[in-house]
Amino acid sequence: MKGWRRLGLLAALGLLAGCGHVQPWERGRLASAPMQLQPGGSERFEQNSEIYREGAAGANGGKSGGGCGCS
Amino acid sequence: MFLRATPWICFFFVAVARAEEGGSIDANILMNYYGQDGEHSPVTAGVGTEQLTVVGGVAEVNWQPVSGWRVNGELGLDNVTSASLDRIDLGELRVSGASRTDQRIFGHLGVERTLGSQTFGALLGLSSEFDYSSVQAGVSWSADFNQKNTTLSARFNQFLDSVQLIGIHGGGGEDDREGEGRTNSASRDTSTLGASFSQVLSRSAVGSLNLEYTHQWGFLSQPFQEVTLADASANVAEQLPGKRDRYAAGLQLNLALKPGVVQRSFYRAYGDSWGVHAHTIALETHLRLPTKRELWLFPILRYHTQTASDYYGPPGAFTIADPYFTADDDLSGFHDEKFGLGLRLVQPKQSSSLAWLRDVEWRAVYTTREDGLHSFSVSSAFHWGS
Repeated sequence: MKGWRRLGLLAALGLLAGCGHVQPWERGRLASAPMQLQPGGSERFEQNSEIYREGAAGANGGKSGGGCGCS
Repeated sequence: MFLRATPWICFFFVAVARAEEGGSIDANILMNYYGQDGEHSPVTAGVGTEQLTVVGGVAEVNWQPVSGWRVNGELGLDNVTSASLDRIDLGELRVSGASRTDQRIFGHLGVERTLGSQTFGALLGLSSEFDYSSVQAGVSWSADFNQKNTTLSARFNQFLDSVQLIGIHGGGGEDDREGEGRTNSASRDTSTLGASFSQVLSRSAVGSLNLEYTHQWGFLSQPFQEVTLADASANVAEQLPGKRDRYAAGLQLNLALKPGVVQRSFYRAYGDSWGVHAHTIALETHLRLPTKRELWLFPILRYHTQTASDYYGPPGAFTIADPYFTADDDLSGFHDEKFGLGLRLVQPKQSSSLAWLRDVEWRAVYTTREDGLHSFSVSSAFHWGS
């Protein structure tokens, strides 16, 4: 448990340390479809099956429990 | 079931009609086929078939009636055919031939209000299947900083679920000791608290850190799943604790390596109070094909590994003296790998009309798990509007 918490903290610090200030007119490459942070619409089905075929869930843009008997 | 869907259907047609009058609207149609097979079904104490197919579809609408407001809704239906569910012992009606079919209908309605750089949201959702129903309520907040280079967001969701106690003998589960066949219900509730930090790192890199805490309580066992104990003459129903705390941290990093090449990388660490610890890595390399239209091809790779829950064991691992036990391989220690291919067609915005198909995506993936479970999934997403 401590291991992944440390890893998460390091990742957060890494992101903060790398904070850039990119002007709106410099974001052409960031605007392409694959650069969006949200998962694509059809990926949600895979996330749903992974929720109940694995013990782990959450922190991936999908839901993490509830709403399904998942049998 | 269809009465519950009525508000969503009405919302869809009202949104479409109003959007044609000058509002802004996006719509998505998502479809999926999922098939799996294996030999460790918990419904038959970890030794039976896990054959399952799901055919699902979802319609999503995101409508901006006036500036600063957004209303969104979705309506979905899953059709599930499960060989293992068919092997639930239904007493005199025990069946073992044709597979059992079940439908799940689900949907939500949400609203978002943007004030300056902040957006506040709320949603209500419902889900219903033959032995399970769920009500969802959620709130969310997000704020942009640093000329939209930084976004902070937080969300809270509450699920109030009800599970029918269809026990391993087909009756009322634990509460049906008299064998009257009644199907009592029990609650299974989930609270989820999440926070995200997204950051534009450079002209060609963007990343996000997602943290999520989930607390579940109530009847968390599956009442029809069996366990073979070392010192019992017959199988008994699985027993799991009435609480579960889950922690997850996910890191997403998208890099535009050069024009037409984007690397999407995801890592997640996970731990919970049942003893499951997991690591997941997912990689997608999006390659723009040299075509007139914007067409992206991407291989999909995902690796997941987890430790076993404290309460999992193969047949005979537990005795009647143990308070908790399950034969559900989903809670065992394993690793699985997912391989696949995706294709995405993006068309330039020429109209915000629903007649304009903006984006189409297909994904096909194959997943294989250490215990022999394997699955195949094909998904399509069609996006209309802005």
